[in-house]
Amino acid sequence: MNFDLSVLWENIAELFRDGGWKMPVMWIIGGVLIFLAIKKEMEPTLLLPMGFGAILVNLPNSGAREVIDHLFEIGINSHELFPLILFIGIGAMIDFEPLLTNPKLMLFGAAAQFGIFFTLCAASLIGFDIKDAASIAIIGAADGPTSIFVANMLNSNYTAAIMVAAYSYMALVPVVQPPIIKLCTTKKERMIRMDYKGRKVSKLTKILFPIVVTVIVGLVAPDAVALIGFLMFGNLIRECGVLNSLSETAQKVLANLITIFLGITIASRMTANEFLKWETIVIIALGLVAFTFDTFAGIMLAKFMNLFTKKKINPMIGAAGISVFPMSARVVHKLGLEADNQNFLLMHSIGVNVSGQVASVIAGGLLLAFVQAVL
Amino acid sequence: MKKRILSIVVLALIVLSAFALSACGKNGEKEKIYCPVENCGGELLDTSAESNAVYCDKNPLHMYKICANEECGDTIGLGDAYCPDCGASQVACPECGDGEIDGVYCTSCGRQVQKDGKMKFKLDFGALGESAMILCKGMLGIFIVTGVIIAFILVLNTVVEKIRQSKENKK
Repeated sequence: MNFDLSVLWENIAELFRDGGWKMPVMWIIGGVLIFLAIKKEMEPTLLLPMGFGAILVNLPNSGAREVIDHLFEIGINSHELFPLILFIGIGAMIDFEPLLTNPKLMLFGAAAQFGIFFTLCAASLIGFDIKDAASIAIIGAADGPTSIFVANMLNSNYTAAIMVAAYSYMALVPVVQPPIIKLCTTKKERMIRMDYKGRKVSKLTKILFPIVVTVIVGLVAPDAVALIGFLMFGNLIRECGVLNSLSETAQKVLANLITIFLGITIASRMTANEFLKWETIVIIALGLVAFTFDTFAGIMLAKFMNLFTKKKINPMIGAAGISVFPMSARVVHKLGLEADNQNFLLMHSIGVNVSGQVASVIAGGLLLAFVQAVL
Repeated sequence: MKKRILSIVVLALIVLSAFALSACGKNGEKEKIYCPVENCGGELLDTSAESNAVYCDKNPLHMYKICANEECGDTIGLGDAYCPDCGASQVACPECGDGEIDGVYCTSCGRQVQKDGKMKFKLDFGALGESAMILCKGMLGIFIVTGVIIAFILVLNTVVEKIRQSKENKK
């Protein structure tokens, strides 16, 4: 192999040309993502490939850009293949039993999608056009594949910033949610205990649930039925009882494989010119707005329901309606124990959490349907 | 009594979701526009909302844009500033209809109508109405769908429990 020194000088000179300084800035950003993934263990499966990919595509005259662009084209841009396949794995990981024993919990999952629609209004108000505003708002779904799917379907100009914000906030749920929950609830409310009656759910119910949910969502939001369909297909593999090896493969091998490709593919949109904009900071701020109002709305619905119910609901469980599974359920459980060391909320918050997973996908589908209708 | 209330709730939810479904369908429907090139017969597909450009699904080289005047909707050349059919200006602001596009922004209302890679942050209360409507429809839609799913689970749980009980009674 010939080593041509002129190539080295040419590439170094590239860094000093107009806008060349942005590339080293992207290396630093990539380094920060890798640091957060390794040192702080924040969503390492995605932040690490994204961080490395950010460095890779921002090298002067990078030969990797073409390959990663091609991955983006076939894996995300053409038919959102990667996020959808990842959903099969996620579906296979989710146990809907806590939700099926107490279906009312699903209302909290629905309420906790308010942040998405509120952020849509906020983003439109400050000047983003409707498709970008909707793509930013979907950060509030707190669900990476849904965010990628919606942002890409709407052909957003800010896909990379949206991905980084979505995955960062998902990792930061234990930091972001507690202060909001404490702000919205009194200690007395946080101490409310809830009985859990473990009831066995029949296999038939578990099998019919993914099929019927797919049909219902498919009828209401046909454009986004792929999202819920793939999630529920994964769950059906898990629950049918005759495809255990497929279920295990979907949960582990398939999900891991796609995650590797997804992270590095998203990095194709992290080129300096696309990423280093003021809008990126605004998008990250709007992501926080979305998470805040998701949490707020879930809690407020629980408080509202307490006005009419005899058995009081601990309002904190509403906060688990954002779909970050199982982190936000754990946050709620921990805060319950903090207020009263005998207050075990895990089963309730897990139920709300899985319902949030389903509701966020439904919200994504509805958002797509309504926004595409006005475009 | 409880069963009766439950069945009324289920019925109401089904009716509401049917309404939501029909509303989605109506909004989503778009009139097909066919390629004006003779003997082509392809369908013109949207490429981007900003440029109003469309291309033929049979031959992507057949590219046009749709007249900005919604009542006209005729296909015109990509570079044309005025529609040869109705004469409508193709450079008027699509938002206010009065001003002209000065590079990126409308000269009358100041709204950003083209991409220049830079975003102009300003409060746009005009766009708020549209997104507020999506907020209302979205939250209503999500509660309807969730309600239908809850009703389904409740009915299913009841049916399964009844079957189990009847089997136990037979034994």
